[in-house]
Order: sequence, then C-alpha cells, then structure tokens
Amino acid sequence: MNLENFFVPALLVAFPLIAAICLNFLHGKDKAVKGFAILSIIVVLLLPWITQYGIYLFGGHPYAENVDGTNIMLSKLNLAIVYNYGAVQKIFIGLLAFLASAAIVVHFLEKTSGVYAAMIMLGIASTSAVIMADDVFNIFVFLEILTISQAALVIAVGSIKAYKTALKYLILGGVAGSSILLGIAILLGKYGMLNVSDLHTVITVEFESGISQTLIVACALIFVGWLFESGMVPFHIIKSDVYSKARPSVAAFMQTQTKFVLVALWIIVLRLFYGIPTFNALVLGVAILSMVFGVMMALKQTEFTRLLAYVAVAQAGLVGVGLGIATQAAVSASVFHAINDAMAMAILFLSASIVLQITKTMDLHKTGGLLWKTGLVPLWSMIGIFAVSGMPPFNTYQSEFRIISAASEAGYPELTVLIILTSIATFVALIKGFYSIYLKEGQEYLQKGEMDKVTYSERAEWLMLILIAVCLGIGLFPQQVLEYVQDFVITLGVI
Amino acid sequence: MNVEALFQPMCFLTAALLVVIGLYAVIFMDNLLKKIIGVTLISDGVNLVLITGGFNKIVAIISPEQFEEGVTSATFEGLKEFPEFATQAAFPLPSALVLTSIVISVSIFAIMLALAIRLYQHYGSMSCSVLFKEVEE
Repeated sequence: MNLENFFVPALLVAFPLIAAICLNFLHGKDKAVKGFAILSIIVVLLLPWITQYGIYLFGGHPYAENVDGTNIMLSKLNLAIVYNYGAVQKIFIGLLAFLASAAIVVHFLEKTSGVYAAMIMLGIASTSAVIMADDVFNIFVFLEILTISQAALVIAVGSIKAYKTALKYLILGGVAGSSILLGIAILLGKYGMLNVSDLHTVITVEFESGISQTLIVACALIFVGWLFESGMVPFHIIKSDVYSKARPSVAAFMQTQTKFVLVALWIIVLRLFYGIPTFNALVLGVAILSMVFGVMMALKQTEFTRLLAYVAVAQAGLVGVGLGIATQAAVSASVFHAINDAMAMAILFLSASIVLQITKTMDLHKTGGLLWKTGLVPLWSMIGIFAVSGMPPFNTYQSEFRIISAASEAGYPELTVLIILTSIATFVALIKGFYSIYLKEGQEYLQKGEMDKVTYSERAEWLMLILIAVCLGIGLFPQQVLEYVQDFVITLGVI
Repeated sequence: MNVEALFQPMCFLTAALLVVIGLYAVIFMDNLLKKIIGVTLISDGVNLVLITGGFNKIVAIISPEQFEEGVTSATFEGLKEFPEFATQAAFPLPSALVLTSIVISVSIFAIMLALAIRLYQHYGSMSCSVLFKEVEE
C-alpha cells in the first residue's frame, strides 16, 4: 500500500469525525473514553505533519467532456468536494489539534464525558474543513457543525447560565447560517456552481462588464455569516459570552477556531467579491469597531474569563483590520497575527483554567493572594500578558508591528495610533486581572485551608510552557512562519 | 392564466414570507418556543429558495430500450430526447444541498428544544423576559 496516497487532506476531516462518533458511543465508560481520547489525540496531533500537500478532490465529476449536442451547465466544471492543503493550512490545523488536545488533557483526571471529547473532535473536524475547503456549500455545512460543537462545549459546563448562552448562540447561529445559505443559493442560482475557484473565474469575467445587484446581495448575506463566525460587531457580545461560559481550556480552543475561521472565510469572501468596491472598507470598519469595543469592554470586566474573552474579540478585530487594509503586507501580517495571537491567548486561558481549579470562581472581587501559592504560574501568566499585548521579543510583537507598518504604508496613519492604543489598553486590562488574582491580598478560600501551596493541574502549566517557548521561538525567528504565510497570500491572486 | 408560469414566483414569495415571519418571531416574540420556531421558519424559507432555484418542469427521458424500439420525442407529448432533456431537466444539485441543510436544521432545532426544556424546568416559564431577566455580570 502506498502511504503517500493514504495520508490525504480528507483524512484531517474524516478521522476526527469518526473519532467523534466512536467517542459518542463510548459515553459513560470512563476508561474506554479516556483511552480512545488519548489515541485520537495522538493521531490528530500527528496527522497534519504527515499529510501530503496539494489539492485533493473526491466525490465529483472531474472535468468530463460535454455530452454531444447538449449544453449541460456543469459538464466542464468540477463538482467535487475540493480540499486545498498547504503549509499555512498545516500550521492552522496543527495548532488547532494541539489546543484541542490541551482541552482534553487538562481535565484528564476528572471523569471524562464521551460527548465532551466527541465535541472537541467535531470542533477539529469542522474547523479543518472550513480551513481547507474550496466549495461554498461544504464550508456552510461545517460552519453549522462548528456552531453546534461550540454550543455543546458550553452546555458541557452544566450550569443554567451556560445553557442560556448556548441557546442564544444557537439562535443567532441559526439565523447567520441561514444568511450564508441564502447567499449560496443566490450564487448557485446565478452561476450554477459551488466551487470557489470556478466561481472566482466566472465572477472575474463578469466584473469586466460591471457588478450585478444579485452579486452584491449574495455578498451582503455571506458577509453577515462571516461577522457571526468571526465574532465581529455586532456579534462580539455573544462570542465573548460563549468564551467566558465555557471551560477556560475549551475557550482557548474556541478562540483559535474563531480566528482561523475568520481568516479562512474572509479568503473565500474576498475571492468571490473582491470587485465590490466597498467590500474592504466594510471589513475594515467592522474590524475597527470590534477592536475598540472589545478592548473597552475588557477594561470594565470584573470576571477574569470574560475579560480574556473580550481581549480575544479585540485581537480578532486586529486581525480583521489587517485583512481590511487588503495589501499583501497587511494580509500577510494579519494571517501571521491570527496564528500568533491564538497561541498567546491560549496561554492566558490556560492560566485561567489553573486559577479556576484553585479558586472555583473567576470573579476578580473574590480572587487574590495566589502569587506565592502557585509556583511559577504567575510568571508564565505575566509572560502571556506580555505576549498578548504585543511586546518584544514575542511573536505578537512581530505581527502587530507588521500590521502597523502595513497600515502606515497603505495610507492609514490614524490606524497605527489606534492599534498602539489598543495594545496599551489590552495590557492595562490584563494587568488589572493579574493584580486581582495574584497580587491582591489572599481571600477566604486560601485562609480556610491554611495551605502554603495549593494543588492545580501541572499539565496545564506544561502546556503553557510549550506555548511560551513557541511564542518566543517565532518572535525571535519570525521568517520561519512568515515566509509560508507570504507565499500563501501571493497564491490567493486577488491582492 | 398560466399557472405553471406563476409556480416559481409564488414559491419565492412563500420563501420570502417564511423568512420575514421567522425574523419577526426571532426579534419580537417573547416566547422562547416561538423564537425557536422562527429560526426554523427562516431555515425552511431559505431551503425553499434553494429548491425553487433548481426547479424545472419535469420531463421524461427516452430510455435506450425505447429508443431502439423507435420511440422518439414526437411519439409522445412531453417525451424528450437526451440532449433536450439535459437542458430542461431540474437542476439536481439544490435537492442534494437541501437534504443536507434539513439535517443540520433538525440537529440545531433538537438542541435548542432540549435547552428550552431545561430552562423551562428551572424557571417554570418560556418567557424570554423571565429567562433572561438577570443582568449578566
């Protein structure tokens, strides 16, 4: 058997899906769930590194000739499900797999629910599909699955507040999903195809004779879906609500999903609608609003996970700003920042996971006094704060600096000021959280136990350390990642 | 009056109505169940748009056996030879897409209903003004 033909991109979607189904059936059998989850994690972590690069298609009609005497619309078009897998997709999916594994490993000693592990696997499968897929319907299907898996992970917390958040998220997700589907229906009705590359070719030809109203409507509908999936204004509140109600380790995974879906979906929308003059301005507008609202809301939060959730929304806004500027340098910097910030935010969410294990609360009024009780966790948390705030020598400094430079070069000097102010405000908000948790005087939960040192998951600490090392490594040698990102942006062919 | 010509526009009109009623329910209705039904109405409306977009008047096709027996499109009314059939037949792709879309909608609907039941058990009400009354910290 030729292994090169076995490790195809479809396996990156198919394996987690199969694992999710199996884990679901194992629900209730704790040892079996744990064993299978570990096995799945190992495979999921390995798969991105051994999968062959390239374009993979299946289940379609690969470039059949026209039937004589007919003009069957689709005979020369490829109806297959197409997955495109390159270096950037590998980085995205590799990081996703790592953070998904973290969400399982951190809670490994607790009774592991089969459904919980299944939803994590479903999250990997759906996000991987959105990142790789080259047809709009496939993307719609997996976006819906992503919404369901994220809602289910919030439900897994088991509190009434979590149920309410999940319900709100599903209602809005249902409306946003329908909006995307209606956009797809319009594209299908007008052009008779779903493949993004084919649509891109046809629409590019059409742009020469002007932009049709139908295309603008389709663009607007899919754009609404993009806003929801990326947690941009006006959906920033529900997105931050979802992050804050989920377990912090799961929130680390979710915010990564959101950032990668933001980039992947934007690429699809850009390839289809790049000729619409106001498109980039619209992206830039909502991204700036998300960035500003996100950081302002973070400053006033009194709950640590909610604070982190709003910072994550603000950082997603910063990614959107680079995409909205839409120059090659800005888009490269943005995609780079999506990768960097996903890692940096994950450090802080994992630290929140440790804090929650000890204090059983995220309320900043009730926390405090953990500085000398939690080993080196405060140090790692502080490093995480530096990384998220874009300070050298961390990776986010490299990407933020590049976004600022690109904004300046593109003629948006005022944006550079706004981005710097956002970084400062982010730092202030995070330091407020750090003070309330570690530096403020000890609270009741510590005095009662009379403990010098409290117990927490060392696995979470190790995961934080790995992420810090990677953040530092990329910060010192940014070209190791950036060159792949730059090549990827050039191959898009529309910037 | 040509009823066949009106069929597609009427379908689109119904779809638009479903979407508008659904949006109204989601935004303005206080009852949680009505909001959930609103979401499904929107989804059904969009599915109707998809399926109507692929609709075409159903035409029959001559099988190879019939062709060998000398049957042509002129023999029976509505019977088409393959080239004509291929250009006039319903577009099959939307039907396949709508099936997938329905499955997804049902899944979301089921989870929403399950959550609504849990909230009803806790609060004893389906009114959103009661369920979401507490100010989030």
